[in-house]
Amino acid sequence: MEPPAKGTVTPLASLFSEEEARKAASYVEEKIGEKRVEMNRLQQFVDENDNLINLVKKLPDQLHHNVMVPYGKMAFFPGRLIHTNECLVLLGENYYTDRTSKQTVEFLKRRDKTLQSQIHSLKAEIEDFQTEASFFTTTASEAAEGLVEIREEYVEEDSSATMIQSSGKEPSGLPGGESEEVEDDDFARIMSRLNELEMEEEQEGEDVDDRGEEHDSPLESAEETEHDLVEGIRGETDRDSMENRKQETIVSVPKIASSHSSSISASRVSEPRAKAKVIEVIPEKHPQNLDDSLNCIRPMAHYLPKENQSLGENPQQNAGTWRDFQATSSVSRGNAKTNVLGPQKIEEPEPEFDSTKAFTGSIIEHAHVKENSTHNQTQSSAFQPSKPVSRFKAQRR
Amino acid sequence: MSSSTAVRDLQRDLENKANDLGKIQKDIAKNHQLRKKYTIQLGENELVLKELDLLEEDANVYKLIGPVLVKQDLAEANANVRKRIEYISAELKRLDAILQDMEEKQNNKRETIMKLQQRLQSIQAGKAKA
Repeated sequence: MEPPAKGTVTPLASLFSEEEARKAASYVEEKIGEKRVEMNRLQQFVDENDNLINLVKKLPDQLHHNVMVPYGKMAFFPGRLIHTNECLVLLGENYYTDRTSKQTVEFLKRRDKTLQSQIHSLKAEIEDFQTEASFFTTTASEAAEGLVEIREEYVEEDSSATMIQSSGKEPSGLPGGESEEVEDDDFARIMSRLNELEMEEEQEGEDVDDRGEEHDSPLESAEETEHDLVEGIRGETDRDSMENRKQETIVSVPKIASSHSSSISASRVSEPRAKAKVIEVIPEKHPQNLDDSLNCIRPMAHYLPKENQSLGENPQQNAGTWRDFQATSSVSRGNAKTNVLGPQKIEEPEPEFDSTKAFTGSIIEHAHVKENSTHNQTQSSAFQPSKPVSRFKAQRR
Repeated sequence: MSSSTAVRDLQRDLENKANDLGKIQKDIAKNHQLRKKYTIQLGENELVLKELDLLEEDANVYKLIGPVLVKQDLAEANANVRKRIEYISAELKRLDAILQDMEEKQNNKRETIMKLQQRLQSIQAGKAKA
């Protein structure tokens, strides 16, 4: 229902219409009502049971009771209760048994206990339903207020975060380790920590180096991101000369990015050219190529709540840029799609492509945020047929 | 013209599938009700069994059959109740299996219906463009 690409802005109202949410809420309320009725019934049983217990307790106090015996609906006649210590108790399932009053009281008390436990579970159920109902009503009101849901693919943000952390900690940790050398415990602890950090760094280095600095993109400012992008992509360009077409698209965009960061007007000028170029190029691309190359990013593409924040920040900073990047969003679409496609292809990641991926990933945010319908149309004519939107939706869930 | 007949076919198909789905859903609801009944009975029987276990050996136990109370042996009553519990549990298990089966069917139906709807929509969209 929404533009399929890396990040999406979905009005809550389009996910759950207000009406639907209200309906759900009222349905749940109905359920609560049913449960309440049930509980009242049980409560009535409990009361009756209590009365009965009192009565049965009192019965054996005397050898006989003078009572008015009901005779039909209207008539009573005086009678007398004898055998006051004998009760015929219905156990359930049409089984009866002879009991003394005392035994009967015990039996009734046990029954009371089961009733109470039933009431207890019913109460829990009602509480459950109430929270559900309140959730639905808030959802309905939120949808009515026009809240939007922002989602973005997870690009190895945390690795970059830990990178920064580790690089930040290392210098401070090192002197600390030296000064505290005397304390064996501390020293050992710190050394192990250092080792840990080193390991982490190594690992990340493997993943990250090839991809260039784009990792930082979600965290760093927009300008920095753009620079990084340019750098990363240039580096990539050198390395990878056989993927001509892809290169073209890639290179065209970073140019814009850099020009934009220097001056907005410049980016405006270059915008149409870049757009045309990219759009031409993309349909020609071999989908297979794209798939293969983009697959490597897949493992990293998780959705994390964090992402929302970064998305929330970037759009404002890049408000002017998004147009420039619109063109690339088709690439990102391919990306989004391939993520769904081939988990089995993950084993063959090609380093040269990594930067491409990361690059598309970081760029998409811009494309995404304000992507409008007209833009979609341009794209869809070129790219849409091959990928049904629903796939993306499936992936998003 | 051929596309319109295809659309009609699809729509008929969709209708049939929707009807099937409705039937299955009704069955499931019925199954649920039955299950509820059995669960209640099981609870009652368990209560009875507990009480019977608490009775002393020589207690008088009666069973209400129609309008008469028939005196029963405690051991016999106990065995009867146990058997009944067994039966009900077996029945519950059976119902569970059926329910699962039906739910699977329901999901399958739902999926096919979704697919049909998508196809219909895509066809209609294509028509609208043309």
